[in-house]
Amino acid sequence: MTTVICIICPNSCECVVNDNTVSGAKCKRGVSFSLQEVSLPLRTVTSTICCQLIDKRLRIPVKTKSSVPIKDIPHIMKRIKQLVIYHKPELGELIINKDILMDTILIITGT
Amino acid sequence: MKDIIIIGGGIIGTAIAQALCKYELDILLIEKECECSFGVSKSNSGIIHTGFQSKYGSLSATLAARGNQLYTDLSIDLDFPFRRIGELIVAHIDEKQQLEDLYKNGSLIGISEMKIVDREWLAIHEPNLSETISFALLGSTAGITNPYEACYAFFENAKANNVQFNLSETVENISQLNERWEIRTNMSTYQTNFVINCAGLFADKVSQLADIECETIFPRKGEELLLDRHVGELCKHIIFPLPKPNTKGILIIPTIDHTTMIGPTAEVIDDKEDLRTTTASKDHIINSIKDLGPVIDPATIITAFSGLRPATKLGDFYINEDRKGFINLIGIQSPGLTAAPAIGEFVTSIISKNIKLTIKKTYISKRKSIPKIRDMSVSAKNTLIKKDSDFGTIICRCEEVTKGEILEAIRRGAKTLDGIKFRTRCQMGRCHGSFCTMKIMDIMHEELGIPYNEITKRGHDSYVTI
Amino acid sequence: MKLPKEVMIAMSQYNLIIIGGGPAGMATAYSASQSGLNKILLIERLPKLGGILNQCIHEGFGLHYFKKELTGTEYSAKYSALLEGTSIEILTSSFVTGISDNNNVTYINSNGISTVSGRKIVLATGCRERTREMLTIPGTRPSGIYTAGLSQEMINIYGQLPGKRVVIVGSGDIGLIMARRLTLEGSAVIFLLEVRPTLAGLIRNKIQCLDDFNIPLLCNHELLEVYGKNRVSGIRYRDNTSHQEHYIDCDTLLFSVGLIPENDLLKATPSSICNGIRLIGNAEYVHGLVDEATKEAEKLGKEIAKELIL
Repeated sequence: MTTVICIICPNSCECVVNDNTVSGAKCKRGVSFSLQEVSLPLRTVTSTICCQLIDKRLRIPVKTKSSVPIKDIPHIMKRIKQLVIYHKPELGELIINKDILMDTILIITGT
Repeated sequence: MKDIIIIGGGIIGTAIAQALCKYELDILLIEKECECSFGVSKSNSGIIHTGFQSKYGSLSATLAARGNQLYTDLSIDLDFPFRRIGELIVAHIDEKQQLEDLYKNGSLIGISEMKIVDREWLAIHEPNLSETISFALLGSTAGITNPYEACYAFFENAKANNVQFNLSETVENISQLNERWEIRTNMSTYQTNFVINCAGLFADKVSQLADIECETIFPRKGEELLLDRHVGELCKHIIFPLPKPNTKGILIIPTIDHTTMIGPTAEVIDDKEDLRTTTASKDHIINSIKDLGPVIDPATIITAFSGLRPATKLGDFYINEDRKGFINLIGIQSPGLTAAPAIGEFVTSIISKNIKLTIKKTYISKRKSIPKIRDMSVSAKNTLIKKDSDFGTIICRCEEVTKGEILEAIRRGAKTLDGIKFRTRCQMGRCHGSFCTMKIMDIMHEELGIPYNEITKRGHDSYVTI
Repeated sequence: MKLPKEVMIAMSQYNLIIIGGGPAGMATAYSASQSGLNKILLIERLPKLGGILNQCIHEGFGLHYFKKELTGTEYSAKYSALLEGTSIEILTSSFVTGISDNNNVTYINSNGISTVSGRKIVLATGCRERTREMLTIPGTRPSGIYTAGLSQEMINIYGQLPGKRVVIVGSGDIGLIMARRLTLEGSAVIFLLEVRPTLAGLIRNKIQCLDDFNIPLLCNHELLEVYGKNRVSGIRYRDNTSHQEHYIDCDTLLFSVGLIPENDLLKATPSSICNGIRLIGNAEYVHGLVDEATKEAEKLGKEIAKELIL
């Protein structure tokens, strides 16, 4: 039996996970979150990437397309930090770069 | 080979440079901080005293009274703010004699426009003062200025007249060679006919470098509190309690920017770099102000800061040519800002006994201040913005400072966040720079071409980002 | 005779003037416009609409309003897109300097000084952070002391790091968010000091910002004094349970000790017209969620439209 606090919304439901059953969650998302949290906690990583244009350098906000295991976050951050794009991206644009980002896909969250 | 080397770029050093820059002289000013006004002068309260609190016959009384007079023309020529709002030394019913003594002292010094006012007068003119205050000595010639702007006005005018300013340079050794002086710094070695030591807190150390004995400087810390602009001016005049032996007491100071400052405390300390603020001092200031009348809501205090006065046991200014060609200025604390222009004259007169002074043909006597958008009329604002649209971009929302003003400050020599703050008030308001710091750094980054992580708050290792 | 520019612009009349183009200002304008009101002016001091959302690159926005977990920047972009195609007039990089009699609003921008008047004025100017100075924390005044929000702007907008060894004072949400952000960027967040017995921010932020990265939160702990001549070198703090005092080396202090509605414009406004001015969003009171601020602002926009159209 494990207790997890759901972080999906500010309700912060205290969910009790017993084998594969969850009690205490006020919604379905709380149930799936709790099950995931006890096996392999996942998080979305948000950060910024460097955007080098001809006349200026900007920081562009991004997030990972899917959530990733907490333990992988430092590696993913290292890769995000190395990335430079050379065009002004659109909101929602996917950034795929096998060389630097490996399998991680980023979404542009602001311009 | 220089004619004159001034050591120290505070209000005294810059005032001396400004006084001497009209003559055909090759002058170098050496300042250890990266900008002028970063030492003792940084924490000045901006009061131009009448001079009657200094004892008749003392050098500080003579120079303060003279300096006070000089501010009228200087503030016009060099375009820095100055208002004669008058000061009141307040006394209780049984303390009238002390006011009369002060009045007499003032008369002996030759100060005009003094009078003793009573409760009735106070009730009309200073309704916020406590009713237990029965009398006050009114000195109408007292005024307020912006101490940084005065210092930077002297600096800019001296610079325009070819005084050389070497900042971030520390004097390490001074030796006498025949009729000359040799000054070695961490950067270079210079020879000069005259040395003017006005190194503030460190003037005794500089004097020692030249093997000249002088009074020891015992730093006296003063802590002050600045109140939010919304509090406005608690009083119309500068309010002083009766002076005590070591201090003029805790004051209510209307600032040139229409805010109120309260303090300072007076605490003798050992460390010349101890600028800590304490809870005890804050409470002491608030309680002392309560005795004068106004009750201060601690929530309206937007900042506490402290400064150090270069005090000596002599209790007076010491200005003398201690060795041929070496002028010591020791213990120039309050009323140093007031006396500064007169000190400039006084030092000039010492120099003139040794060197024949001739006025430069190219002497520039005027200086224009950085435009202050907030204080301008609508049509003046529009004219300026039409000429330079950067004056229409607000960077500091609390004090309404524009990008144009910040750029102008940088072009006149500001190279740190504090240098910009002291010149423009940017970051001086209630948000303490939480909204504008990065925007100012961005302007500095662009204009000075330096990376963000080389920008400092006030030089040395005061980096803002890593 | 040609009239001066400012007098000509003074003739510009609006039904509704909204000061502040953050989430609350945008929502007031949008809903008033959707309710049929025309002549709406939205004035924003920065070059872009969105306010503080634009530096909030983290998630935690939009779950209620957009029914989707969004970052602050996405929320800002999505909401400002709603304004496109409406008749709302938007002025960016324009700073309101005062509100005077007859509901005249004066602003400054790179074209000069202009005055417009509105039948209704809404203040949506957001909030500001409490600072070290407001707490009058004793000690020195070195570089390296920032509000959590300033550090957020440093990192997210300018890509600059405030320091290497960081102590966060207070446990407000921005402080929690910045503890994670700094950790991800490679700074060491030593701990958070909270003078109260419990966390100030949301528990979900503690879990994903502190617990995920093993950052300690010390409740009942009080900052006593700041050390360091030019740059912060350390702090003295006290455990108020055991009454023991400690010292720790650090080069940065971030304050996350509360937000204050920024309604200073009102303090300088004549009281006769102050009553007619509506505050909304964080300028009215500090909201926990942007979605709530949006909802309330949309309600206000609707009410104003109804009142003015009748």
